[in-house]
Amino acid sequence: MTTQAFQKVDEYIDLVCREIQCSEVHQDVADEIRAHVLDVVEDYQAQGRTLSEAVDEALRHMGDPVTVGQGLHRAHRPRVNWVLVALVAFFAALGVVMMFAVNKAYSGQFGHTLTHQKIESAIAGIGLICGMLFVDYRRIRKSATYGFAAILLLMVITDVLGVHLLGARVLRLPGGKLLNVFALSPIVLLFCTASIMSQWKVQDWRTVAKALAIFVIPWVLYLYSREFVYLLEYTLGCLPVFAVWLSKKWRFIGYGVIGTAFSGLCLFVYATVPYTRHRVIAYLHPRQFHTDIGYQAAQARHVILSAGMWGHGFGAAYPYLPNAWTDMVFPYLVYNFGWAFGGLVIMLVGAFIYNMVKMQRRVTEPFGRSVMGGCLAVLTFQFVYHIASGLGLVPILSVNMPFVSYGSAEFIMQCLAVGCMLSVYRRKDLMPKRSSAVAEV
Amino acid sequence: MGLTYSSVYNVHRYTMHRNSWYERWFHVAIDKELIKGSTVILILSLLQEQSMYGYEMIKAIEEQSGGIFAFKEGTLYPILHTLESDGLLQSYWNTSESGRKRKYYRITDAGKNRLFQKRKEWTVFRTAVDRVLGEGSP
Repeated sequence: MTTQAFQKVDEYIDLVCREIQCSEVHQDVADEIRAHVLDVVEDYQAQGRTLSEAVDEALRHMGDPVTVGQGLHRAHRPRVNWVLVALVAFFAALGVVMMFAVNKAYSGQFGHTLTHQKIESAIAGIGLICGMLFVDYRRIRKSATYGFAAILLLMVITDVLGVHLLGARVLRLPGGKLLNVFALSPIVLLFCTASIMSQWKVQDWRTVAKALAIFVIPWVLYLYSREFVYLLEYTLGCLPVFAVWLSKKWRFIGYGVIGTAFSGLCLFVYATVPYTRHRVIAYLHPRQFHTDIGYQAAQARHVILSAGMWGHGFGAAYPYLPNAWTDMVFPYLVYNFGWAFGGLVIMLVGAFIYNMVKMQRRVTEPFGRSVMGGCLAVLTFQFVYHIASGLGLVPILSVNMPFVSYGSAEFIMQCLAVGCMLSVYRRKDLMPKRSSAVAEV
Repeated sequence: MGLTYSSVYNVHRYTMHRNSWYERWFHVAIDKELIKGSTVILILSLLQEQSMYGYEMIKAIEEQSGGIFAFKEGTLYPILHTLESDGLLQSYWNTSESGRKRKYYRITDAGKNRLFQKRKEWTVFRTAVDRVLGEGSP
């Protein structure tokens, strides 16, 4: 075996790889081309040529290495999902507009709090998304356990030391800033859960038990602090993570346990928490309770029904609708701009969700896929539930509309989710493929 | 897609039976653009039958097209990688019994949809061209 002949092959591969900027895929490309060339060389040798002739002929048939390399480079570049970015920008802009509308409707009672806060969070959020695009999500994987512990610790501290502000429990940080840990928790926790699960090699009852244990710890904290919406979001976010990391056999057990625990939880909450019980009753008997516990639902219904095709104009005053800037942004939006605009917003939300799902399916790397699935689940839940409860289809819980509603912690959380998805998607072609057959997930 | 000597030669052999002397003399070669556009549909249709690796695909295309399509093999890989990036194919490494690691490509559902669309497009295109050229051609 002359090494000189094979040196020519290596030189060829080198020329090809030099055109590919993403160095992570060089090994993969080199292996693929070398395997091809060796196959061709074998065939030529079988036809009776010498090794050296065969190598020369094979490389000639491969074509110009620079052209091949340039073609491969174009296939392995960072990808940006501009449609998603545009939609996020639209929703954020809509949020700012709505804050100005609410301001006008309430004749400046809030001063500049709503609008300034919203613009600040919008800028911070967009900045966060841009920053996240340049972070390699795989590097964060290793420190995920610490992140998990840190968030849980913060949740405990909020329970003990936190103050109630506008219906949320927040931590007052030194320097006066408020930190709403619970709002940030679903996404961070599901990212950490995905990281932790992705580092386990074996799938047996011990790992599944460990996974369920990790999953249950935040439940305890959420229950203790009565943050049921975030608990629901966390659970929904973890379901796709489990779907990716648990093989079919264990999936049913995992879902079974979660499903039973969740149903038990719903009954428990219904029985013991008056606030939620009232919301459900108001939902089931809308006309009967419209003056007390069903007030918000009744007002939402009235607002939407009286909106008309083109609404009552920007900043139309309707002081009877509570939380027009958070929980009831969608009905208020319809009241301002009409059913036509409401329909448009629903279509754009649909496009957003569809786009996210398409993005998630294109990613093959399992960790990225699981994290994207989780973020997708949380954002979809928030969008769908907010609009559905505004339309009176489900009981009203305090679920914000992503990017549109007021609430900087929630907005940051939603930007984290989108940023995560965009960051994973950006890298999807910059990574080598796995060595075993990719499972159909 | 470069036109290789073999592809031109094979076209020459294919057109030998035509009567016109100038067709034989000037080697009426198949348009490069036509080859480039059809490579995707060829690859997708091959992979619909079974998963293959690069060299296998090239041999299959050469064989099934009767030697008409013989192109520069290196240019196949950028196409495969681009199709994979678009989600139409999925790749995985496989080690054969002889110990050689090869990268196999498998068609996805999106790929099957694209193939179906391209087949329809091709039929429409082919019928239109035939109709314009007229039924009189041999």
